[in-house]
Amino acid sequence: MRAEDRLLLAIDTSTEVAGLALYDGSQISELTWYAGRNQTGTLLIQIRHLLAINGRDLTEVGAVGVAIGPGTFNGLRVGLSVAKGLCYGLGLPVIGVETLDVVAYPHARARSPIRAVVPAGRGRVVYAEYRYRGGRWVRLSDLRNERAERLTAELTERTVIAGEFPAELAATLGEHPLAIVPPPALRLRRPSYLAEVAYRRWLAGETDQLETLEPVYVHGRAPGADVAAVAEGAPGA
Amino acid sequence: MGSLILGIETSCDETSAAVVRDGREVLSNLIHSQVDLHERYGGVVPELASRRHITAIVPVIDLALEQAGVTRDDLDAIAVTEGPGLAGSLLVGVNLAKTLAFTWGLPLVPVNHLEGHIYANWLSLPGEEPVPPPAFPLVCLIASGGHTELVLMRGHGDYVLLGRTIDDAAGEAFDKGARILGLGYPGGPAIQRAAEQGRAGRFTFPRAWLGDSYDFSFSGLKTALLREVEQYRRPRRRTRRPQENQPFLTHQPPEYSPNMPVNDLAADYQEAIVDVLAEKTIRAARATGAATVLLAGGVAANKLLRRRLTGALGIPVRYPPPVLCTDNAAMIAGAAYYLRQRGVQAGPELDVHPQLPLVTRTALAEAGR
Ligand SMILES: [Zn+2]
Repeated sequence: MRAEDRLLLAIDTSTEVAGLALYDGSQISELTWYAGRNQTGTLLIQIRHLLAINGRDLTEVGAVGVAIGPGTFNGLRVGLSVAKGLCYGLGLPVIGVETLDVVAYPHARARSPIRAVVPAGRGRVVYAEYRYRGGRWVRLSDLRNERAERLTAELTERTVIAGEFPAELAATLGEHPLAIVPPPALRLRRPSYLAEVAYRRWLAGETDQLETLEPVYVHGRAPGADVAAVAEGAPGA
Repeated sequence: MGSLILGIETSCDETSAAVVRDGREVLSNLIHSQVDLHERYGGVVPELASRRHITAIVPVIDLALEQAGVTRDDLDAIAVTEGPGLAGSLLVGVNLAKTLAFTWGLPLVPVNHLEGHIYANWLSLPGEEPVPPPAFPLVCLIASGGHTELVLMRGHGDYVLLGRTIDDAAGEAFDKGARILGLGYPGGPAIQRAAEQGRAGRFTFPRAWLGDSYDFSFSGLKTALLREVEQYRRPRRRTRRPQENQPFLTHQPPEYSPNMPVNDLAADYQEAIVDVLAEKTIRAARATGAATVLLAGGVAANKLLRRRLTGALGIPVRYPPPVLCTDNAAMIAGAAYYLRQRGVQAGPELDVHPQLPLVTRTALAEAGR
């Protein structure tokens, strides 16, 4: 099989804004919608919809790219479960892409470094710094979990702050002399970026192991603080 | 070949997939247990359970098909637990099942986890003689870590909920009791083991009869046990805090004086739970003229409960083999066979229902849903 003949399906359910893209190496079509917490109820329907309106069939899909976070834990699990179902069911390779790589992707040609952001709930964000270095677009920092208003802390040069955050926060951050905050549409994480990153890795043979692929888990301020208190085990079985 | 259904179950802490023929014959039943993972927390940690499902689910499904000696082309449907259960756990199974049904062009059958537990009584394991189907009307006690429900079943899919727990589930009461006594997790088997070494009758624990109702309550029992062990408790040296590399609080076993009669306490604690479960089940069976009594759920494996019920009524008392008492996908695939006969099917919009009650589908139809 030549990869050029086949389609890559990209799936991103990292946040409340979900996205899908189909990419064949030259042509892209994409779908972004506000899923809220209803990723389970909407994702598979949207996959069928995207294929149908593009006149494509599931059997033409040759690989699946999926965002692995950081993001909301349950949201990521929905995307990964569907990606695993497709790849296992059809015998396809899977490519897991870190969500912040997708946020930073369109800014690769900017001269400034980028702080790529995903919301982490309760006024917190996860972010990392990206910069063009040695002809490559690389992540320079670890993933950080901070209060959203700390996004402009420790800026030493003009830096683009990109990602999904509310207008009020964008306005506040924009007051910082070194912060460049693009308008919402330019900050949005688009599934076609994920598709391009994953497609390149597919062609390079850099696929992931289907069984063990799992989300990137970044916790809140005190480790475990954003996870249900544990002492009283949950009912089950 | 009969009707082959692939079942998927991820409602709590077991990742399971199974292939069942005609709702009766288990061809394979793979269960990836997470007990090792949750042991040190003294109970299921929902976030950790969900994380394990994500990495366990594909190998479990793959092995279930392999062990059954079937391929996707042999399957007639895919069944999955839609609820009740933990949201983050349920959604792994539901999304996997929906996607497989879509990619393989198979019908998808949503199954209520409680209904699955009941239908475990129709199943026979590989190499075993098929069991006769239980006779209706029947009374089923579903008792596990997540549920305690007493159900009248008049026919397939026709349920009347007689009563349920108003606080802790019976299995939860075992878990909490075991945690208080420092006996480990899961609590049911741990308490049963200790009780076998002890003698009942030394301690008086409360039984919540709740008048004539078939409802249950176990929270007072836990409090009574706490009060009883208080005199033996030793001061704790220090409290542990979550660490960077270990973000979940682990359970600290309590420290007691070696004089504490752990086994006798366990024996009386178990008596108190079983007394109420058995008594109300017997009363319900008599009142409804049941032809069979079924036990289901993890607590159905309790030997004392089985002893109390067997022979008490002059009608058959049935319970599944241990592997089908605790959560498993064979029971989901089994229930799905009967659901499919009544045309139950779901589309790609199927969502998880963490609080899904067990209600009769006839009643739903009558209510115009
Ligand atoms: Zn259960």
